[in-house]
Amino acid sequence: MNNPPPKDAPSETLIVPAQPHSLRRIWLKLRSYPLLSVFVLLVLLVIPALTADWLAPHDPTFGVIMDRRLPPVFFGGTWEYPLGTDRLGRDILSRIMYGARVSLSISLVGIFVGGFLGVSLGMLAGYFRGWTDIIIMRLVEISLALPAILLALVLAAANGPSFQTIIIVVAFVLWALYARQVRGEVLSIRERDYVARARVAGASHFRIMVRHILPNVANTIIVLATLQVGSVIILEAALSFLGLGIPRPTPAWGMMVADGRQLIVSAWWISFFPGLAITLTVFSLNLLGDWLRDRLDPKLEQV
Amino acid sequence: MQRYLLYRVVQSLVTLLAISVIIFGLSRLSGNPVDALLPDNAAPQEAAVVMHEWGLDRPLHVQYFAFIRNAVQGNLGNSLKWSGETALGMVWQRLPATLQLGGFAIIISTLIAIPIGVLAAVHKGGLFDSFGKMVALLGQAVPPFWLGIVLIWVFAVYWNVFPTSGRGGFEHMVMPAIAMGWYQVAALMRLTRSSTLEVLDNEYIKLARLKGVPEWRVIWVHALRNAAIAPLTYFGVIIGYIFTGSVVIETVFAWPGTGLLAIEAIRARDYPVVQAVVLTFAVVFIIANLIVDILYAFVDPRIRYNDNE
Amino acid sequence: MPKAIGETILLVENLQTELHTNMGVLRAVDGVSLSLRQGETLGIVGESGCGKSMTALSILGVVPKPAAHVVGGRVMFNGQDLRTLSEQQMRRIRGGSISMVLQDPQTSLNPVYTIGSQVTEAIALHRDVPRRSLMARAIEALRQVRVAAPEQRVKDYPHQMSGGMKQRVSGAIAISCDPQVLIADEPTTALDVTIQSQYLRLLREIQEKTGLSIIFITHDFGIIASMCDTVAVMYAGRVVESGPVRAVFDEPRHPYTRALLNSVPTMDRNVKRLYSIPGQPPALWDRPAGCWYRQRCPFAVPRCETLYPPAITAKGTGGSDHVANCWKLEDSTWITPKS
Repeated sequence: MNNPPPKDAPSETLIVPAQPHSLRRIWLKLRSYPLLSVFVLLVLLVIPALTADWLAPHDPTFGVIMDRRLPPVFFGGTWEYPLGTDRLGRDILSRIMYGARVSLSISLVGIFVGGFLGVSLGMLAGYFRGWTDIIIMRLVEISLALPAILLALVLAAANGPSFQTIIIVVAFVLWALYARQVRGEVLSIRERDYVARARVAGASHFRIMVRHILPNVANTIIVLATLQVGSVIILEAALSFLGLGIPRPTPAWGMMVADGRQLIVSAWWISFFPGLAITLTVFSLNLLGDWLRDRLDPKLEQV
Repeated sequence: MQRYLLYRVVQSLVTLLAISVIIFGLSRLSGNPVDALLPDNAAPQEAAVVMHEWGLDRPLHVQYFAFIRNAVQGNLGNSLKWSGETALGMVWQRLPATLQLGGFAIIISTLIAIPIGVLAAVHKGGLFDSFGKMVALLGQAVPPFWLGIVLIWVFAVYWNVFPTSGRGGFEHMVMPAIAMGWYQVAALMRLTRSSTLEVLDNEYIKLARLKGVPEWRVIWVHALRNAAIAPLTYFGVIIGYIFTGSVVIETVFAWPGTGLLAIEAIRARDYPVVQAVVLTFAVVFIIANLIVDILYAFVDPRIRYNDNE
Repeated sequence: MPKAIGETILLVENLQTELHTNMGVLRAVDGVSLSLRQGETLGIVGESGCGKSMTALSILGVVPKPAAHVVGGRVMFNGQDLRTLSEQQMRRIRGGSISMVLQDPQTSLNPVYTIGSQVTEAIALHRDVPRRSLMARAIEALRQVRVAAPEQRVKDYPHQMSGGMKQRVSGAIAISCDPQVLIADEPTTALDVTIQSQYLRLLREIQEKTGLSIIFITHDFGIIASMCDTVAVMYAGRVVESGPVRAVFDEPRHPYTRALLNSVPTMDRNVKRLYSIPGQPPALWDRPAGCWYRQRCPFAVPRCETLYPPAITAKGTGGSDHVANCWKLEDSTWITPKS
């Protein structure tokens, strides 16, 4: 089972009771098998995003007016439109699948850009310290002080919503978290022996940062990224709900929820399923992120 | 402690200044706001005239200083959509509504999250704990706007318990507050739980029991005061989220606050109002964080008295 | 000056405490028996992890739940078996009749409450004192433990005091309700040597004045020799030798006791290497058959491998007897040789 503690462990070493009750056991199982979460993720996010062009039963942007506001299959509808149609007769299922593409692309690009920016600046701050550190940390604080939606508001009001706008907003929100985390780790790593040895051997700063320090913060970065995809998806959904996201007619989950809002009484499925997709996706992502964090880097903050 | 406070105030001012630069910069990013004002086929001379009126033909930094000067005096321009109203005036009109809803949401979130967090820690591994964890995970996965819509559907339409929208008293506030605070309950609960677990491991808790202190008092008097310190620092973040959340939630529930105002302004391309809202939010946010820091010093005597020793 | 020692007030019989761990269910306290008379100081000595602190916590029923449980034995105090009392009754005993002082002064006090409130809390719990006199009583308790300017100190927070002062405050809390027994769990281990002796002197004074009985847990033999009347040597959750301090220290019968005494460096011996006992105490989940010390014992005989030795009386040459769990004692003339 576990490795036995050293032989002179004091008798005060304490651990949990031996028999957790059944709900907790299920929960522990769920926690330790990310397969379930990964599976849900694949179904909801990745496969549709990649294969929507082939797998989606209908065109997401072109609706058959005759078939508008049809209910989902077990609520009086047919298998042709398994999750029902919206007010323009567009198939909800297909739109959700295409919407996955939006969510996935925005989160990946946004995290990549924000992550790249954040990791680089964090490393510079932690490595060079001094004024670089002070300035960058000020920027981190300021950027954390400015909530995402406000920034999106400003950008949207000034420029009009677009793909670039959202990416900028996402990157702006994320970079600071990476920078702060990476800087902290770099501060401790740079004192280690192998860094000193590399410096003595004449390695350039850049080389040291990339070859010696970066691999050691990789774990943290990966966990952080996974934990953040969920928040990015929710952020993007909120923005498209408000009309500040990807412009029409590209389907986005948040926008779909907004569309169905007026019809909530007569056609609840239009808002319900896209929101459900968001919830399940983010839930699985969070589980996956938690699992990764427990395996790779338990030091990270819970929230 | 005075030194600490002074430092924080200065820091806040710097942050505020930086935000103003960002907002100002973004507004000029897209070229001319004037383009929104004029019809598309306006002649270049007309455009030039309007630009001059608005001072948009002066160099950028001059514009910025004018902007700051005006802002400090409370002049953030006039609303384009609501003629006769100043941008700041519109914000002031709507702010109380947002504060009302936001304050309510924060209070009930805290009242729910902290006891649950403490109890989850005390009965670690028990049913309560697992239940709490589930709630927390769901809370962080459910998008607030969707939650709001589902709540309306279930409680207002189907069961007719609450009104569907609009501002009002308690029954109008319940659903929006739940939708707004849901995420915060989850986060706060997790934080409280881990903080309480740490505190319960401490020797002074053992000593309290050895003194014969009844268990309820050990938890709610001895442990809570210490465990609450960590979640308290999270409050600044909560306030920020509540305000940004207000944009979405007020839209869903047609609650006439500053969040809804921002959306309406964007739809009408009323840039001065948007700017005013964002600046107000930023100021409120910064002040709230400052207050949290002060409270933090009160709760933890070690911070309060450190300068004197 | 001989102490006035009275009747037995605390009698621990065969106390057993179990610990639930990943390795299974372990016995941290495995049949410990102690006796304490009124006005007496009993020392419990042993290596880290031998169960001394757990024994103390078991007496008071404050073992860390849910992992630990007291599962057997009796704790007779003033004619009652504490194990049969309800939680509410035990709470009256804790801090009121039997108090405890913990090892680390830096962490024993709640950092967010004033010293005064923490002392008055103890008094309010156990004594029927009108509210306005509570603070006066607290100040008096602080004065008893020689805290200077107690009227000012009650408003202070723990972090504003030194370690030695904090330990006195813990002491004040413990004696504020005039308990009959004070259990001190290594109270001086975390203090400077000079503060240590002050603290010990303080305890002795209080004992003389009030007839307090003390259980003193430590790993320091010097303290046992100067403070205690009787001593119990613990090893791996059991008591292996006990009796009057002089008898045990002058004529130790258990090889473990002798080994411990040998490993204390003294000023009058010229040693090239500090003696330390080879090997480790057996892990809680891995105890050997027979005597648990035999794997490290230079005097082990085949009998030691089969049966755990019971408590055998050892006649002392000075006239006082004591008790040890060692098969060699069946030969009543055997005294553990010096190393």
